[in-house]
Amino acid sequence: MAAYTIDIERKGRDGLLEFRSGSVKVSTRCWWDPGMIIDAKPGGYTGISTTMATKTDSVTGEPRPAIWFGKGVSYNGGARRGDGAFIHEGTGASWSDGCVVIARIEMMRLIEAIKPKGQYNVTINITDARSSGGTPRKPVA
Amino acid sequence: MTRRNLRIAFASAALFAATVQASADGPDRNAFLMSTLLGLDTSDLFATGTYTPEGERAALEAIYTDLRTKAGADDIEANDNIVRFAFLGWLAEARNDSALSESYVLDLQALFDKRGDAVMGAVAQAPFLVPNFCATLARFFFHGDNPPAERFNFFMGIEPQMRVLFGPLDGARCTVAYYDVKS
Repeated sequence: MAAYTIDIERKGRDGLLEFRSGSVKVSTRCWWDPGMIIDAKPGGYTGISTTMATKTDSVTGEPRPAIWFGKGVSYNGGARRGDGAFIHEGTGASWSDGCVVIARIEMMRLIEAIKPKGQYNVTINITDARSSGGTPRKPVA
Repeated sequence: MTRRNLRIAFASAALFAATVQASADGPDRNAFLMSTLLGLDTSDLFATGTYTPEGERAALEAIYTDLRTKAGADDIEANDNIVRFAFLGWLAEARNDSALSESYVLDLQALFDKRGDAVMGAVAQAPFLVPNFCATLARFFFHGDNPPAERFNFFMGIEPQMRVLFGPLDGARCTVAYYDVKS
């Protein structure tokens, strides 16, 4: 089974998401909620291509294609932990409550290159070029 | 989560009668939500050998989409389903569920636009939901391309009825939660 890698480099208020598989190369700007910053993790996260039943694709209206980070993702230096982190389409940080978002056209190129889908064959690496900026959201009381 | 909120969660979860029964059709909804809220292992709620983390995720999303639909229905069950749907929004915040929160901020506004008084009336039945509910209404104006400045007019429009339905104490809590959202 082929393994894929998504590299996310945070550079401040946005970042660069890169993916390569054969002739498919994605190098695109990405965004996230500055109050919910996914922690970088040694070895990366093991993700799975999927669709989000609670959201629709902005063009087709079908369930939105996405990459799920898996359970127990840490945010804000370990202050929060959750199971709902995805990479999916979006055009800016305001579309995110913690997910990483990229332009739809790039998301579709990335998703369509992953075969087979629905397998834990995607490694997601997150690095910080410098401080990611933003103020982490205060924990729920 | 504070002890107070945990007591509230348990009390409210009493609305969801816990019948633990593994089924090939998926986990018992009420037990599943309770376990999800408490961060407990849900694998024994699935039929033997069928649990997967992605299946667990799918189960939560299925409950969400089902309640989203039912909350918007024009039937006698809608009121109870609105409260259950608002509970999911509260759970999404409590469990730091980014994707569910992103969905809920849009879906709640759509529901509110359709039947705001009924929604507020339903949420008033479970006062612990009020802060998250009101904060989510505010967050809508910071989501996507929505205009943040419009949140003031929106709240002025709903405030009189909100104070009637929520009462003075929860009305004040709603106001604080709403305006505490700055981004």
